[in-house]
Order: sequence, then C-alpha cells, then structure tokens
Amino acid sequence: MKYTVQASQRTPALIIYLIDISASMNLLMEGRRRIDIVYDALSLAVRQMVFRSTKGNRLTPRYRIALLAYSDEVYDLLGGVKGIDEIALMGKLPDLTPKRFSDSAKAFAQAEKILKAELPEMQDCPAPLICHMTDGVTTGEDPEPIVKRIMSMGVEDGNVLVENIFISDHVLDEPIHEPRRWKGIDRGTVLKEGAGLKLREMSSVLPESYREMLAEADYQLAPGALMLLPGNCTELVSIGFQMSAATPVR
Amino acid sequence: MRNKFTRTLPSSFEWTSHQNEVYPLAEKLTSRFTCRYTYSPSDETLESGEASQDYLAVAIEGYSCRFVICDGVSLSYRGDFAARFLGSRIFGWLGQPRELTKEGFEQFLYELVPEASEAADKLEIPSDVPLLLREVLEEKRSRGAESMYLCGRIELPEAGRSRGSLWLAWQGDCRLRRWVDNREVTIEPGSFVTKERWSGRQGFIGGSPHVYTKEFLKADENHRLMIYTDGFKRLDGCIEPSAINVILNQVLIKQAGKAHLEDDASWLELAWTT
Repeated sequence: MKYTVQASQRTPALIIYLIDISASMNLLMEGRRRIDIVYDALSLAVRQMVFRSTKGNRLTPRYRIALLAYSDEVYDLLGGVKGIDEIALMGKLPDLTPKRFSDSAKAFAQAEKILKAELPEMQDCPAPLICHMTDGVTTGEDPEPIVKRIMSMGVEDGNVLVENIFISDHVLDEPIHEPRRWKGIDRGTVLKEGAGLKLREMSSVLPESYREMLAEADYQLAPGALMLLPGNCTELVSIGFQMSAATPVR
Repeated sequence: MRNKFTRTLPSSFEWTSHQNEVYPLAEKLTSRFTCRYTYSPSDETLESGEASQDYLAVAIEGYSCRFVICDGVSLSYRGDFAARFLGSRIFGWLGQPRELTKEGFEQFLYELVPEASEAADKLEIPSDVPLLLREVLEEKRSRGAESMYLCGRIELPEAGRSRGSLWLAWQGDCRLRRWVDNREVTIEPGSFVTKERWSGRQGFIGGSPHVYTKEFLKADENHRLMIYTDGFKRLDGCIEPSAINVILNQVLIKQAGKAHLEDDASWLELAWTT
C-alpha cells in the first residue's frame, strides 16, 4: 500500500465521483443549495486537476474521470471515463439536478463495473479513487458489501481508495471552527449519526502521500485520518473534493 | 593511461542541453577533467512536444570548470522556461572572473527577478487552448515561474595558485554527491528539499541559497562530483561506481529502444586529480 505512483500521461489516475442528487440536496447550507455548493467544489477539483496536469502550455491527461449522479437511478454524466483534457474542452461540468431518492448501492455497483473494466489496463497507475458525496441515509440496499468488495480491488500502488463527503450538521459532537487546523476523523472519533458510522466503515485511511499533498495546501489532517469529511460548511466540502485530486504528480 | 595522453587532450570543453533532445551518455576528457553526462526529457515530455523542465550546462577551461543543473517546477508557470532562464543566467554569471560569495550570488539572483518576470509575461499562451486551461495558465503565470538549481565552480590548485577550491550553491532537491579517493564525502550543511526554490516572481522561496565551499591543496587526491535531477533518483541508493554504471546502462538501453524516462532527467559527473 504505497500510494506513491505519480499520475502521468502514461500512468493516469482514475477518479470516480458518485454524487447524491436526492431531493434533500435542495436544502440550504450557508444560504445556498447544497447541490450548488457541491457543483462548485467539484468544478474547483477539476480546475485543480488541470492545474496539476499542465506541462508547459499543454494539458497532459494525468487524470481520468467518471462522474455518476444518483438518486433512485444512476446517471453517467460524462458518458464514460473521460480524460481531464477532454473535460477541459467541455468548458463546464454537466448540471446536477436534484431528483428524489438516494440509492447509493446502485451507484457503487456502477463504480464497481467501471473498475472491473479499467483495472486490467492500469496496473502501473496510481490506485484509483472513488469520491462519494451524500447528505443522508441511503434509500436503497446497504452499499457496504459492494464498497468492501471495491476496497479489496486494486493495483500494485495500492487498493482502491474510497472517500466519503457527508453533508451533515450533526455528525460530530462539536462544529469544526477552523477547517485548516482540523485533524480529521479516525476510527476512534465519536460520531453521532448512524449514517456517519456507516460511511466511516466505507472510508479508506488517508494515504500519507495524499496527506502530504494536503499539508502543502495548509490542511493539517493527522496521520491515520480517514477519507471521511463531514461537509457542514463550504470549505469542508471543498477540502473533500480537493482530497480526491491529491494523487501525487511530479 | 590517462597521463600518457594528457598532452593530446583539449584543454576546454563546453556543452549546454537543448531541452527537446535526448543526449545519450557521453564522456569528454580534457587535460584536467573527466566529464560524463546524459540528459533526457521524459516520454511524457517527448510525446507532448513540450520542452524538458531540466537544464544542464558544463564548461571546462583549463584548470577551471563551471556547471549548473536546474529542475523547473511543473506546478509553477512554465517550468521549462524557468529552468532555462535561470540555468543560462547562472552559467553566464559563473563564467565571469569574480570571487564567488554567498552575498554576491544572492544579490545576482535577487536582481534577476524583474527580468524573469518580464520575460514570463511575454511568453505567449496559445490562442487555441481551452478557456479553463488558459485561466489556469494565467493563474500560474501570476504566481511565477520557479526552478530548483544546483551550480558550482571548481578551480584546480594548478591554476597559478597553491590552493584550489570548490564552490557550490543550490536550492531544492537536485542531488549532489562527492567522493575523495573513492570515499563518499558528506555535504554539510546538506538541506536538499523541494520547498526551496527560486521564483521569477518572488525571488527566493523557502529560504536563501545554500552555499558550500571547500579548499583543496595539491595532494594527489582523486576527486569525483556527481549531480543529477530526481529523474535519476534510482541512483540515490547507489554507492559503488559499478552500481551507478549499471543504472546508467539501463537508462541507455531504454533510450536505445526509444523507451524514455518517466521523468525529465539530467546527470553530470566530473572527476579530477589535485
């Protein structure tokens, strides 16, 4: 489990985003709809990937992305896995429109299919990452067995990483006043919500190489922190999406 | 064997890398120095048609040798430009007859900033790049072009003096290794970290340059100095010359098979006897 292979044109990183577009994503956070905050944070993460993929004046496809939105169905918003260069050409990401339910098991099952198709060709690449953003309890089957299967898949660099961004005001005992000084959630952190506990079981430990990248951006997550972000403010949601793009690059 | 041919060897040699070219391992002998070097853009660089973000130059003039290696920072604006700009300016500065001091070097690098900033502003961003890429490149440009570097000058004792000197300066993680009579010598102080670099917008980042000086007498000692960028990081664990040669040969085989390196890579070795 090294998680040190650098994303390059020859060995691009694969990131699969799973975005919950259930009706509750219409609720407000800091005066804005949750879905709009997520859209902006995702767009910023894409911009960060472009930033980290330029060499000279060119954009080298160091990242490959799939974007799945889910309610009771799964919507493949990019029409398959796309290179960061192709996404930059699109100008902006497809709109995220809230629907009704929240069946995350279907979304993870779709991600598993993508991984099964992609992994044989990417054994020299960085370990793939699934970034799952949700704001509540899943309305479908329990996704955990699928996630555990996914977490046991991998490449030489390490097993597939699963990150969860949980938009909730109630998952922690105390609010996070200074996101940049926050140490993160580990296995021993007291969580108040059942959904949070479930997501913790479905979150990978933050690899040291990712932690160092985030430290360079002045985020002080502690060793052993999990890839689980309680997105109770815009900045934490943003950190979550930045974390997804923290694959080492040269 | 070397002494037998000393009189026929040239006294000078100069070489500067072109950032789009692959230079297989080469060896040049002058009357006082042995110089070996290789330089290769990564396969990603070659495929994209961009320039390597490394820069390497060396010049030998009789008893004196100067060199510079630069590793442009890819997360800054145009690391290839930064490495070339800084490397060529330092190389020229080292070639001037002057006493080398930390203060003088810092002043020189400090005074380079306005010129670098203006030159970076003049670099054209192609008109056909996607808007998002253009915005990112503009943002990078506003932060500046950055490069790590390691440079130095060797003056042999025979150069009309009783003592010779080695003067080195660096910021960043370019590798520097030195041997005397086949024993590796620790460079102190030895801070070689990526957070230290030179910026064409902000000047020094992460602290001021590190400077190392060493005097040497005529002592019939064999000296060897090796510098390289992180594209050759596999050499870090190699102590024996034979192990170093094995890795260099592996690189040569890769190059011959048109399979290039994962990262831009530069390597220079200088050997001399006092």
